[in-house]
Amino acid sequence: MDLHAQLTQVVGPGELDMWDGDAGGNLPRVAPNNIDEAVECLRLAHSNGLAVIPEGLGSRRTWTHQPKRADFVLSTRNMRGVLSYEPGDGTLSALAGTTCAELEQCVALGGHRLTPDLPRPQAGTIGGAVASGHSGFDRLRVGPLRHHILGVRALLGDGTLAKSGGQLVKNVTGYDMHRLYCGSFGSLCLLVEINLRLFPAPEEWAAVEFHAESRAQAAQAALDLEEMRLPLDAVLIQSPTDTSVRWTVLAFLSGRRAVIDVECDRVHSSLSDSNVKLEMQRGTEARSKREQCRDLEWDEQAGWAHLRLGVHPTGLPALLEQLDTCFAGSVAQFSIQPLIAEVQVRFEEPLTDTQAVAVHDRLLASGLNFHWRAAPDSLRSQGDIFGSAPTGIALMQRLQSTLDPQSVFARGRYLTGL
Amino acid sequence: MDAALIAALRNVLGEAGLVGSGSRLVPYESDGLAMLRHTPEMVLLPRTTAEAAHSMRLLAEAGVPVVGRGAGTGLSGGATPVEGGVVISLARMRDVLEVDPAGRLARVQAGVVNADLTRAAAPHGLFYAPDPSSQMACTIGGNVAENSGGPHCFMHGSTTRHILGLVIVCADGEVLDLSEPQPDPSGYDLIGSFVGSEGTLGLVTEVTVKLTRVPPVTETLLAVFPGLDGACDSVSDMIAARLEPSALEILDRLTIQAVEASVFAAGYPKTAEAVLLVELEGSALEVDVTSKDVLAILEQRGAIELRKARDPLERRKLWAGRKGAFGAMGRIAPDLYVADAVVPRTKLRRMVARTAEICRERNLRLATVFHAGDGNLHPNICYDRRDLDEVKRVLEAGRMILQECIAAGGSLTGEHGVGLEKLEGMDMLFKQADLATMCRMRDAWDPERRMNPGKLLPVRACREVRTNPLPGVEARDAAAGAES
Repeated sequence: MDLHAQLTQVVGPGELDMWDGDAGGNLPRVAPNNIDEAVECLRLAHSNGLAVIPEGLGSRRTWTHQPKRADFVLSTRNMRGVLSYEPGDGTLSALAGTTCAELEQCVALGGHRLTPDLPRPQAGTIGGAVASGHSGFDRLRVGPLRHHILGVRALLGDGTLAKSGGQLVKNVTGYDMHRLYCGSFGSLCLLVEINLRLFPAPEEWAAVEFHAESRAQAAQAALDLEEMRLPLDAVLIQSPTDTSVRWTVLAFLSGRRAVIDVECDRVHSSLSDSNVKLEMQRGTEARSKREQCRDLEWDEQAGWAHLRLGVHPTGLPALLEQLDTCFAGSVAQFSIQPLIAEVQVRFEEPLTDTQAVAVHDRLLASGLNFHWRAAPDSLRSQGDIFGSAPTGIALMQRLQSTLDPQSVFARGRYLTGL
Repeated sequence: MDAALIAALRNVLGEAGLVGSGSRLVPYESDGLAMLRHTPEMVLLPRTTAEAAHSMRLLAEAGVPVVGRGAGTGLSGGATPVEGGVVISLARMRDVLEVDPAGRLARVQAGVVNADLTRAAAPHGLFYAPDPSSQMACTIGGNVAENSGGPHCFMHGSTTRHILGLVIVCADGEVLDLSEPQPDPSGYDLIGSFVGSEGTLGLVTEVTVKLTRVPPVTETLLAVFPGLDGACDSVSDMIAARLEPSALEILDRLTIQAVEASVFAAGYPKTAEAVLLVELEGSALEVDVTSKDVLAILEQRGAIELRKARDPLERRKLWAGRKGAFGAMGRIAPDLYVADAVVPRTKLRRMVARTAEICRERNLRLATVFHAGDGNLHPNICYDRRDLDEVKRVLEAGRMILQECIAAGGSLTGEHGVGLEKLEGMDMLFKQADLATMCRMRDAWDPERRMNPGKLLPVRACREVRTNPLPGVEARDAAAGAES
């Protein structure tokens, strides 16, 4: 029996299609309807020496390298639904294929907001978010996603179902395997169930926008906002565009209404003193502006290439100096979140292979910590879109070998051959 | 131990770096869980990562088990050398290497005492947030091993959320330098999966920690209740109302009496059945707004007295009582069994009442003091270790409490770790496949399993994992499977 027939036997004919993806063209994509079917798919791969690409809705497909070899794609898109939402405890458990938008709607009913607050939440699954370690727009306020995963259930390459952690806000029982899985890009396991800590939904939102003459001035303005100890969700600096030669600073606040009222007044007074003209929005308008900026981070439908540069805050001034050098010769737009030291770089036109390689080489030479998202295929086939090999790579390889000794999860998609 | 090995270790560490025999080994026989003891063959006291790594290489060649030890304040037997071998103490690694106010981080040797780190950060308006009750003695390295908590972890999170980098000496003596802080891990999250591994993956020698800004305003409230129910219900109401205090701590009558009779006397009313300490942090306005909501809940739940700390001195006094509670209990019994379990915060009242019942049924005295905001219970059972029947009843009550917490959707430990004490409980919470997967991770770090053997995982070899899940756990897993 060929692979197609074997997979159909597990999930039925309606849950199998072809995936126009990596590693030499089309691959069968199977979408099990439940954990038992997913186990069967992995056992099939395990016993036949096949390599599997785990996937949610496939929205982050270009965030990894092309694998060395792959035989089929295993999608969690049919394994969806909220298993439990405990408003009185502020915790949520959901199947990995549930979209972030569905989870947002669910927890909003109990007065919570979902972390991570991701761009285009309807286009990605919570399993995909965790597998890629994708922290959200609320990171400045709540910290990275990995801090709020309370536990998971995951399938190993041989079909073993194993849990880690639980659904408790405090728990130190056993190893935090979920910390290892978070950000492993499906190179260790298939996540099937995720438990998250939730945060209170704010009563009120505010957005503040003003312009600065230079990147340095904008960065200083962001630091000044932080010094004011505002209830900030995010501070964003955007580079000049075709229609403006100035840098734009955006700050997003949320919290108790009485607090936001007063804090907005403080921001207004402070910036008025510096003769800065600012726009301020509240409520739905502010929220909508926030979502617009959040979604810009991940606008791959526009055909841009994205690059995420991460440095510790102390390294940010040096990084800003390096930007012009690294991106010379390309039409790049920067979105900088200075208080969490993240820089998104978007190229407004598709890079040629030569341009992409030139930028990439300069980044490698700079020693920066970077990750191409929506990388051009010329780089994805090259094998270092996650930057240079980090310290501990030998240990990481041992971890992969012990957790997936038969290489069921397609190798080479993550950094340095993992 | 082989004479040549001892000589080689002496050569690396000097005479002062070795404790080899007699009564000097006694303090290293156990941690705070004194009922479980074992004498190590030798204690090593390195001063630097290089000395620790050199020693570990020698021990690896000789196949000697290694147990790391901070200050020995742990409460689960994590630092007890149950399979013999060598204890490596961090007692001589106490340097604060760097405080970086701009980056809001500090780099310290792993033997630095938790409270000393906050003292070093204080001149910059910063502090280190995890604050276990033992913070005057416990070390940052020990905190990393146990993923320690403390009252203010309700808002700020346990140790793992504050670790930016580590230097780890692996079982074979290799130094893994992950000290460079990065916003996200490059590759797998080695740091996140190492924190809380209870010394079974490697020995941490240096730690880079996140420092937190001292809040502009801190307000501490003391609410006095005629019973534990009102205090527990207040906490559940605050969580359900999505209020965000920085700490929520409950003390029961016996604890209050012990504290008030001790040097930690905080001014808690001696006749109260329960007190709830609430701390709020933030801007003056944030604190004011939240405080009004908190006070409304406390009144509605029947608080008979509400007191706001008037100044920092009174605030420190209220907290000294809470943090000194374990020490103060020495006045009411010669020995104390400090249990540590977690339950969903919707089940606080029921589980607190149930722990009291379990102890009453066994004629045991219970003093309860706990991190209510996190659902982290600490039922403290008073006993006398010379009374063997009482010891038996204490252990039985401890097991019963854990079983009930797990059946209620809770877990074995919120901050003390599994160690030696809760080894047998692991198979109540996890299935064989879960434990075997953890063993696989351990094997990648330490294939010979020489690091802190006999702890955390109920195995001598991972193939021997035992499984005996509670019926409730089985039923829940089956239900989850059916729903999927």
